[in-house]
Amino acid sequence: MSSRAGPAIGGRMRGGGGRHLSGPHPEDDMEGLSAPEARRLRELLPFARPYRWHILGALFLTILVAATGLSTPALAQIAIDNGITVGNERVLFLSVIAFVVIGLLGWAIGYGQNYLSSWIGERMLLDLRVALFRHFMHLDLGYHERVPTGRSVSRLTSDIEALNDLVTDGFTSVIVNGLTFIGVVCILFAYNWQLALLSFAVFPFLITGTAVFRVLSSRAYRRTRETVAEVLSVLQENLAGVRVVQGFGRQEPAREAFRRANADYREANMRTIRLSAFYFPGIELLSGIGLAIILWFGANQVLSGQIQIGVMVAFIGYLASFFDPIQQLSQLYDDFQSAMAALEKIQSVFATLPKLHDADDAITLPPLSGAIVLDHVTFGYRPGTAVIHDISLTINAGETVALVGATGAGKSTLAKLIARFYDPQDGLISIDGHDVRHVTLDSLRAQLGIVPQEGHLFAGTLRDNLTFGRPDARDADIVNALSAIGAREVLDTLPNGLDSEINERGGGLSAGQRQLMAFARALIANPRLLILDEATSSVDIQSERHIEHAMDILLHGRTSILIAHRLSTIKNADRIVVLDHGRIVEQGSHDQLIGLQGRYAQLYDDWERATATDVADPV
Amino acid sequence: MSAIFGAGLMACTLSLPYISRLVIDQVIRGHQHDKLAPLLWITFGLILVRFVLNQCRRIWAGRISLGVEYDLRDAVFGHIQRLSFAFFDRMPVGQLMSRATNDLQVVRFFLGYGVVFVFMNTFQLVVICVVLFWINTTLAAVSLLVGPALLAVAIKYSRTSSPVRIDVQQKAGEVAQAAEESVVGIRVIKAFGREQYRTSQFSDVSTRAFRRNMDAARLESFYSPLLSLLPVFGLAVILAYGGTMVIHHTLTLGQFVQFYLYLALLMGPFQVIAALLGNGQRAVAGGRRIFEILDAVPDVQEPDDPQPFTPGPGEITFEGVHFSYDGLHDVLNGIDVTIAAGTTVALIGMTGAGKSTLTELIPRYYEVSRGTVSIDGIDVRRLALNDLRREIGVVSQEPFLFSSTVRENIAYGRPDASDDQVRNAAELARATAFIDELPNGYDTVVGERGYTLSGGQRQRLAIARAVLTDPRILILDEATASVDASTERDIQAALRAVMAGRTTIIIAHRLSTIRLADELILIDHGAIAARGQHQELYAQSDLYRTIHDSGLARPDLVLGDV
Repeated sequence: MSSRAGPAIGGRMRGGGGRHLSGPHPEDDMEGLSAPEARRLRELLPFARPYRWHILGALFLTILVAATGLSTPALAQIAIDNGITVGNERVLFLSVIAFVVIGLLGWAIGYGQNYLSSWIGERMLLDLRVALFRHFMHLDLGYHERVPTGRSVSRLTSDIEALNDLVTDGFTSVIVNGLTFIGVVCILFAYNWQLALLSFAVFPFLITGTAVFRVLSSRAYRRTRETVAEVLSVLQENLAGVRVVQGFGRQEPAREAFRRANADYREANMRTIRLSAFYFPGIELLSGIGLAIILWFGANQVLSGQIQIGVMVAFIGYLASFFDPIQQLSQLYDDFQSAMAALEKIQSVFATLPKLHDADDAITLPPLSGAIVLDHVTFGYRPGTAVIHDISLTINAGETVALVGATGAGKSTLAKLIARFYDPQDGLISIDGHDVRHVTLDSLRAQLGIVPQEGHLFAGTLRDNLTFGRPDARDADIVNALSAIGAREVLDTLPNGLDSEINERGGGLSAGQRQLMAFARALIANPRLLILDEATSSVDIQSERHIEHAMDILLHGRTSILIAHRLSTIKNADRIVVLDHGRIVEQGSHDQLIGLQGRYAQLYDDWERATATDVADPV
Repeated sequence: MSAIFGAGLMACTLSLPYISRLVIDQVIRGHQHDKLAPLLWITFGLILVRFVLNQCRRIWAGRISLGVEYDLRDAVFGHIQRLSFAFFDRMPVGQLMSRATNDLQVVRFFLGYGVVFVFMNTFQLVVICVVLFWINTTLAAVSLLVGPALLAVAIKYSRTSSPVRIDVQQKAGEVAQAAEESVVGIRVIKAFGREQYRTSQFSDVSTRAFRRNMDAARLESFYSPLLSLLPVFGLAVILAYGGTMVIHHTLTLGQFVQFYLYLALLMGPFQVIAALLGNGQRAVAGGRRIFEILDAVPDVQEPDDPQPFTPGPGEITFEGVHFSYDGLHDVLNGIDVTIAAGTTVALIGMTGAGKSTLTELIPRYYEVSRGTVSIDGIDVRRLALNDLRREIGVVSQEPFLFSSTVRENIAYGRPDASDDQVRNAAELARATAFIDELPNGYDTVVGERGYTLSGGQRQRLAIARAVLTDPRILILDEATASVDASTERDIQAALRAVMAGRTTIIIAHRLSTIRLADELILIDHGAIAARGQHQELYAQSDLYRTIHDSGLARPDLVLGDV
């Protein structure tokens, strides 16, 4: 969107400091880049490579655009000196025709150049955004648990947007302005080297001023980025928790906190504005001095017959074209700075490698019978604090094992290790004799169904959600699965059945219904190995009964791991494993463990007394 | 103010070509050497004045622009805080974020710099035109013929690109939404090994945004250079026509040069205005999306003349209450019920029967479609929202904690609470044991940016938070769903203490919960199917028997215990 049509005589089009008015990046700064900046840009090269021919084309067009811009004052000079002053109308009209033709050419070339460079930039960003998303998808669960949602989302949105100006407009702008600058210098020297040297007398001031401004403004811009991040995080949190804010009537304090962040941001911005308010008029001042020099020296030279009037007019015109590029490029420096900051954050995501990835010799897991062996497994989320201590456990194919223990005993963690969401620090986990670290993650998870506690559903139709794990499932399969868990009637309450649109918060489904849908989703995937982590905590008793009945059938022939606080759910398990502080303290069938009168018997007793009305079957 | 700076600035800028003319006509052609020095001193004076004025104008315009941004963002935030729950059910967080940041920035740039620029440049245009006519009417008339053409092109540009711009902003919002959703749902994606699938979906959404961007780029690539081309035609006319006039001595060379420089000065404003047109389009599109938020009227409104909420025992009455989320399907059909002050009532029913909805009408999270909800005889719609909600403690199924310390989270509803009060609340919620084990105890930062707590721990903090405000009414939405039996027993004992002297409504998914209740209310398809003690209901209601028996195989134990 920058107006990169070349400058014409006296065309001081950049009235003032709208950094939004055009794309970024200072000219000769390419070699002045700090090492990390240069490296960061180099890392973008792979994204440019597929479009190298497009880029060459755009470069060619860009040079043409700069050339057409430079030619107009020269034509005007010819028209004045060889046409008007000497009274030659033929030369005058010829140059006017050339003037118009070049203008039309400039339009056509400008169209192609503008479109092509936008295309390249947007295309690269698209690739980058999708690559970044893919990388996010493959990062470990641990990463996502550590990094707030808002931050990851802003990598994919605002940071990519910040690069937008740089890649779509910036590089073009650098080339056009750089070429214009060099072109002007050459042309002025060609006209009259003394006058040219004199006009450039202001140049050292310009360079020094720009260098100082650069240092100060990069500091100021860093501050704006920090403050804007705070604005965003306050905003994000209060949006996500808006129900709590309103529930406790805390709107005013929340708004106060937001006002503080907002005001800090305004202050930081004001500082950058004060800086530019000194710098940009300063450049204008220098250009005014340049004009005065040309008028003084030029007038004397014209009088002494050394140059013609047209040349002096051209000098005045080109002088503007000399300062414009520098001013534009300095203006773009802000955008360049924020683009580099964004790039740094994006690249730090790319630099975070998933700890879990397919080994080079990873094999595709063959269809499983589902025998799981944990061999002296130790694991902790943070180094030094183990959550699982040296656990060895063998689960036979087709067996249903329940994990029992107090909150925080390590039940979910153990299940996550089996699904290889994490790798143990010590020990070995294998399925059917294959070390899980030596099979591909996709093939492992394709045979594994997990129903987590929170039934997250995605925007889209109910069908899309239910077939998430097996996209080729037929409607009949879906209805069967829903019937099996007694959720068939949920379908009838929705306006469009399976085609009903579901949104982030479940869209018309209650928490319990969402969990039922998550359960159905796992069943439809028809996994060899099923992990139910508190899968039924939010559904009502009747639905849970349905599910329990269905489970007898569904678990048949699959290896399953159940985690449930309601001990009624797990009594029928083939084996109950009792965990305490990351260690197995007991295991056996319900009856055996009750007979043992140990930890389980105590848990069961607690639970039974607490939930005296909730016992599903006699012991 | 900005206008004054701008006008002074313009005067300086516009006098410079006049000086060039004087130098050419009087010094060079008129051979009046002595005039050169004064003219140069005037030039210096002018550029110094321009420097100062320009500085003032920039600071002034910046202040305005930032003020606009600040006010707009503050207004959006304040308004979002007032919107009712129904709005947030419809509008995903990703969309809201994108509007409050992306769209807002686009609007700010335009309102801040854009408006000032448009004003200044228009002013410059008008002044230059006047000067041109003053120098030479015919020449001015001929060269300004391109004016109407420019105007027509500009209008056409604005018309065609406006809908495209709006769509571009919309598509950007969709990308943000898709990103947010996938990050939030990463566990599910990984559990099913569907990273590839989500990536290709995200790629589709991004590609759609890319296509729309290119549509906008195509329009801009066509119109933007065209808008700079038209003034070049004006210059060509000057060269041809004015040049001929100089040759035929009807115009001095100085006048010609001055004219030419002024016309060149016109190109700047034209180009800036053209660029701003594009920005204006974006701003309009962004503004529209922001005003969708600002114009959203909360369905739950503060009463004009709120009644004071005098202390009372906390009797809750529903009279003929109907409610619907979408205006089509009634979720509640005519609820008539009174919950006696100080009692504990358990709501029982199938998943989706309307239990949660019923409780959400009491703090006016949603507005009834028909009927009345009142507390101690006062219609909730006649109470100031904060007065009302302060008296109601809610513990939901999936409690939200803020990224701050445990202490601040517990004291969220009463920031002035003392450490002892916070500790007591935590004690009541049986949360002290695990809080003491946290790395920094009560000063441990939890929430999204802090320490990860388990579901049961979060719930206990939420209970402590609700208890600390000492509410008249307590609403527990199966608040103990994800804790183990021993902890649940602890919490239930705590709740028993907490509930004393308050009216409590518990949404029970587990039959164990009903042991806490004085009375049971059975809800079926949005209506009250039965209410009473366990024994009565068991005798009278088939539905209750079905629900109960399916979750209960030892009625002897129950009957003895309830």
